[in-house]
Amino acid sequence: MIKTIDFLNSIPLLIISVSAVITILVGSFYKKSTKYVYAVTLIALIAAIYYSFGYLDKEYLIYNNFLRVNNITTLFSIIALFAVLLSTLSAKAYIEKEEINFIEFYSLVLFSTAGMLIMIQSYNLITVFVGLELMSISFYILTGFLRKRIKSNESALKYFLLGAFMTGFLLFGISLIYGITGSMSYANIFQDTSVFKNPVFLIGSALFMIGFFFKMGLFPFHLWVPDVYEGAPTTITGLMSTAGKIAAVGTITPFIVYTASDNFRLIFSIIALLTMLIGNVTALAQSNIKRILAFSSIASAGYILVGVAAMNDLSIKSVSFYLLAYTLMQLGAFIIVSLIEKPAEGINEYRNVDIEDYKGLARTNPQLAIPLTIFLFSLGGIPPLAGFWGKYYLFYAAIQSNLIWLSISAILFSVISLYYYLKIVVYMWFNPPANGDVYKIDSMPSLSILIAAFLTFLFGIFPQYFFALFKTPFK
Amino acid sequence: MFADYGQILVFMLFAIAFVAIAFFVALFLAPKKPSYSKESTYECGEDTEGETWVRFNVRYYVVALIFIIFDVEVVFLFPWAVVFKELGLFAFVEMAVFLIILILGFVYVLAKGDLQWDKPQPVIPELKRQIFKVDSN
Amino acid sequence: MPDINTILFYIFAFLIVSFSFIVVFAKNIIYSAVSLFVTLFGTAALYILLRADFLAITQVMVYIGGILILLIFGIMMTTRITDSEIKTTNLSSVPAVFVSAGVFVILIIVLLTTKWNINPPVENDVTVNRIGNLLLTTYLLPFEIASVVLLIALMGAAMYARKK
Repeated sequence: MIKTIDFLNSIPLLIISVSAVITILVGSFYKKSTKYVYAVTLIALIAAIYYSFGYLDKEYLIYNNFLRVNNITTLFSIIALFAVLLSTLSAKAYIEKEEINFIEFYSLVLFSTAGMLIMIQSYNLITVFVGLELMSISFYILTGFLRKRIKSNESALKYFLLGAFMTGFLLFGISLIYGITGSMSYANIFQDTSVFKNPVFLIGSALFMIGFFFKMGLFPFHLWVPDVYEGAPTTITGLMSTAGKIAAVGTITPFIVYTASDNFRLIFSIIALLTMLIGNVTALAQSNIKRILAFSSIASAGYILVGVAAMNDLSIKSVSFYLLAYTLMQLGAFIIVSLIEKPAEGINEYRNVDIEDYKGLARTNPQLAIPLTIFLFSLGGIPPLAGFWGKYYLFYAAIQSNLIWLSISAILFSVISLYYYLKIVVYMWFNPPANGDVYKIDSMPSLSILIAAFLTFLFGIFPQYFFALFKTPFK
Repeated sequence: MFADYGQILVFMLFAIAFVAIAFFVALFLAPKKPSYSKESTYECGEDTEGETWVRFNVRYYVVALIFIIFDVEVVFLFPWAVVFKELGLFAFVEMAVFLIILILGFVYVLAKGDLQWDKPQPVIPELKRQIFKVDSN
Repeated sequence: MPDINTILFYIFAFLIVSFSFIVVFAKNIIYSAVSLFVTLFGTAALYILLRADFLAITQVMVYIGGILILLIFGIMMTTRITDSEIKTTNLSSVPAVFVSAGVFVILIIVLLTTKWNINPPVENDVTVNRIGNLLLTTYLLPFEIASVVLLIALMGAAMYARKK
């Protein structure tokens, strides 16, 4: 039975779902009301973040133990909601430019957000699955939102086929876990630790994790990332690479930290190492900025897995801080890329997304070049920016678990990554302008860029502000 | 309960056997005298035209998809209907929420005109050239 | 003499496996679709043997009555269907064989070596009642989220099928 208290303890989820349903209803009858729907979406997201802060330092199990509210879930929910808010703020200018300014865009973004919240908060494998499907299906549709562009359609099809295939792995894993534990609730699965050594449970959780490794873009399952990120509309790429990844990491990290024992640290470490290798080395050869950022996102998934592989008290703390820093810098970079991109009727490729087009940007558009430089420096891990502390905490967590070789190689790969980030910076500042275009920036995208850049500095100089939010320590 | 499915199985076996027997009996008993007109495709006496495989209109697809969605809904309605009396108003409200959300999708599809068939635009013959010279005076 | 359930199980299992092979290896995709019918139907029969009658009916209604039809629709709507036969081929069959064989062997070993919790099927048990009760009380949240998933699936499909 569902009690009234359950609704009170899941206000953010309710706000997001109800406003998503309302936007569909409005969208069916009033085609011209996109402006209001945009405002409603933003208000819903801000309200959801506001109410989420109220759940910090509280613990509930709601909806018959299907959802769980605690510090970890609230933290990941806030970061995911924040990523959605930043990208929605800047999305309007982009979708107007590309003439895809439909109300469905906002309802799908809201539905995917509801899916993320369900996933992150779930305390049962069924809700994990349903939330993941809600998020993924919304993303499949949003990826192909630019229907006049063949690149977008192609990437939507690729993403859908591979994603559906991987969902099969996930379901098979869930069914094996259910077969051996007789329950899908985390409460019962984690109750008896002797089952963790059972081969069926191991295979089941491995398949379950494969489904999430796909969503995170980790090594053997990363192949879809560059193609899909390049083909999707740029704001959606930003949304997928940050909010989608936060949801996947936020769901699987507690699961791994609870279930996996020290014996599997090596497997995770090797996957992390290979992911960083593939991401960083392949990025060196790219010239399309969306692909560079896609490979940088693969590499970031590798860094995150370094923290997860540590499997100690610092894991969740460091992973969440890195995710916040990553959201700020990666999303900020994608917003700027979406502003520089040119609309083009009737061509199949995206225009103005090559790094050659960024030559001399500092001279023609310093208001874009300066924040992009900040974000790229932060991605490269240069102090005193948030990205530096994000990596610092992750590698520190790994060293605590005696994974010194992994930390050293992660630092090495981080240094390699500086090459392709700095290449863009050099193109922007030290090359003559490729063209004299001055890009028009609306107030909303510039607001989101400002927020992202400000927070990149803030958490870079005072990283302890982030942890001060939580009075009780993480488990 | 379980025996009821045995009846279905027996029924199916009979159905398969019936078709198979009829087929084989025809195969052995029927005289075989093929000719050109016997071998040709029967289309009510008309000459056949084009291929058997035709491309369907994409609009059927939307109809089929809506069918699937509501098919799944009906599957959920079964167990609801069985326990409805037991659970009362509570179950009613829950199913109402479920149905409203799905019907919203249907309203969306209707309002967007996805179920509307394109009416063929009649091509009205238009005369480009003047046949009769109209005297302007 | 094995009992009738075991015999029926092996008959249906044989049907499922052999027709699955046709689904995978048939050159013409229409043959694959039709063979899928037998596979799905056999699965429904297995559900009945497991005394999961509601699941069996769902399988017949949704998979055979809905998804299979949609699949054949999808083939019929493909362009160039009149120009050439729609063929299915595999590009990298050798690695695929190795991976599937590996997964198969691991699963079989695990299946045989594990001690499973086996409950004998309850005779004359109607599952619909209990499913209905659980769906509307304990499993209410996933049930309602499922409707939202169906809603966006419908929305997305309608958007993609729309002209412009």
